[in-house]
Amino acid sequence: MIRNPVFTREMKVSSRSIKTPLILAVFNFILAAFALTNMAAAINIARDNAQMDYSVFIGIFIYVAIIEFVLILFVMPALTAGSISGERERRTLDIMLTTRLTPVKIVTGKLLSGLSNVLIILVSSLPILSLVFVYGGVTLSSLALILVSFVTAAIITASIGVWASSFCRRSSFATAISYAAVVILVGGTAGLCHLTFNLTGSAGYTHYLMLANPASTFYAVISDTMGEKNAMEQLAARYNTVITLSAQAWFAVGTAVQLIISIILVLFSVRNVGPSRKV
Amino acid sequence: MLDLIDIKKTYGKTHALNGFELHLEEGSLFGLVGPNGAGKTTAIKIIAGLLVPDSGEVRIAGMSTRNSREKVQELIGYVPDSLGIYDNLTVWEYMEFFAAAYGIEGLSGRKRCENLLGQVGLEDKLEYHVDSLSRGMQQRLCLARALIHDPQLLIMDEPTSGLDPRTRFEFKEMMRELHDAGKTLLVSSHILSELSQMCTDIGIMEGGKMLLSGAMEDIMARIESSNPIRITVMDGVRDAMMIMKRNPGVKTISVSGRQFLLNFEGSREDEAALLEQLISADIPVREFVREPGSLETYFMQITDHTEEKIIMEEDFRSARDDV
Repeated sequence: MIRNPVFTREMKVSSRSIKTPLILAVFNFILAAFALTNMAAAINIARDNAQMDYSVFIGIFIYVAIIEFVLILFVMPALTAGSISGERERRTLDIMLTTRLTPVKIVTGKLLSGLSNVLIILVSSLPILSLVFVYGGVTLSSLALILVSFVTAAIITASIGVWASSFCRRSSFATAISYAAVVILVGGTAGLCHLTFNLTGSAGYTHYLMLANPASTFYAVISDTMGEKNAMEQLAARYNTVITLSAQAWFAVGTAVQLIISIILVLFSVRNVGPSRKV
Repeated sequence: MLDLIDIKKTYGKTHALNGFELHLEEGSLFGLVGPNGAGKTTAIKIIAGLLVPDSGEVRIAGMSTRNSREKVQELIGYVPDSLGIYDNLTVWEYMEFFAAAYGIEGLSGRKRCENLLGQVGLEDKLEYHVDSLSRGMQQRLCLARALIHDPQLLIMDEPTSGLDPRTRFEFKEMMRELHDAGKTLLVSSHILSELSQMCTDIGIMEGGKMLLSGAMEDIMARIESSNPIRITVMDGVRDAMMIMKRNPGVKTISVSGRQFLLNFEGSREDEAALLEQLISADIPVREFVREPGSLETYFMQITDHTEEKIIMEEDFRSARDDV
């Protein structure tokens, strides 16, 4: 049990709110609709042809995982961007800061409550992801690595949300900044890499920026699951870069880089929440 | 209990506090008064540790807020000018959260919450959502919340603003009770009359500076002696004016027909001497009286002194020209 009053209160409030069950229902409905309709189609084809194409089930698993990953990127800023700015809007942040609650406790409480909500979403979606095990094709370790990439993506996007919330006075503004930052992190790093390659014939060191991109680590683990062991090397060769990391190494280094960025964002948030030198 | 020494705080080019000084004795009920924009909220936020001053020192119970922030926070209860409530919590949950925020949990936390809610008259509203309470009840809840860790110093920023007269009266009674129980209170307000009724000490600030502070009795005595003297004569306006002009205690004179309004600095004896001079000069004096004063008029004088002085000086010049 985490002894953080902010976390406890947030969990109490979110368990009462309609927002959490609504997100859970929509999230799982999208995943289930996609997985079950495709699975039914694959079984119908098998029934007609008397042949079972097992790669179809791995494909469904991959697509469900991609949808889930994209949904996490969309949901996290919405869950965390109003966390501290909301306290400012209610004028409760000042009161909290006069108590024994330190800025570290306030920020981590908010971050953990956002992550707990995502954890609930991930756990609730496990049955859908596990449909693939009915016919086989994906190992448990692959599933575990995919979940790690989900959690890493959730941590970095939640940290972005809390960071934006820590310096914005309005939650709407914090949400806009969070989404912009996520777009820059995911699309911007990839775009810069591609642009540099187009201009100079080599992505060069801009390829390193992709280590901060949660989509790149997700791609590394997905390509590994699909049996494309050299996918990251091939990507590096295509962009004519100096990085020659295997999919596993890219996943490990990328995850570490993203967690470090998250820690830095949390530290900035703590600094922004603490006693102010401004009004 | 509380010392603010030469506090300076600027926002861009605006000096919110400019050499602000405040000294609070233990057990006092101090009223901090000033017009809007005087710097009251900035001063209170600095004391509460929410703002960092550009320079100067804040000491609470002898400890510097810079070096002993955590210890100092234990001594302070803070009621901001806004209510600061969570509309999605019940009264009990709200109190429970802030008790936990001070590390007061379990049975002792529950007892403390029950006692405080009883003290502010909300013992029958435990399961009510905070947003369903009236503003007066919400303010009482905020007071209970600020007392959860039994602070020695309670800082309240405009605590009665937005309350109806009855609730305001009840709230003031609660403040008195806290003072009687030995708490030190610092209350800011721009409604002077309500502070003058209950405070033991008062400070008047403007433009980020403390213009005047001290015990309420001393200030009221000073008000008495600083009010203008109203003199009405039946005849001999010109002679009366000459006598008044020669008196060193008379700083400015305003004339309206046969009535004079004197800004007079001096003792009761000096006042009597002036009256004697007028009577000796055969001037029929119909009225010679100190204007009845209040903290409000004094506040107006010292916070709006420049404008007032110009008006008085203009009156004085026109009266002299008439003579």
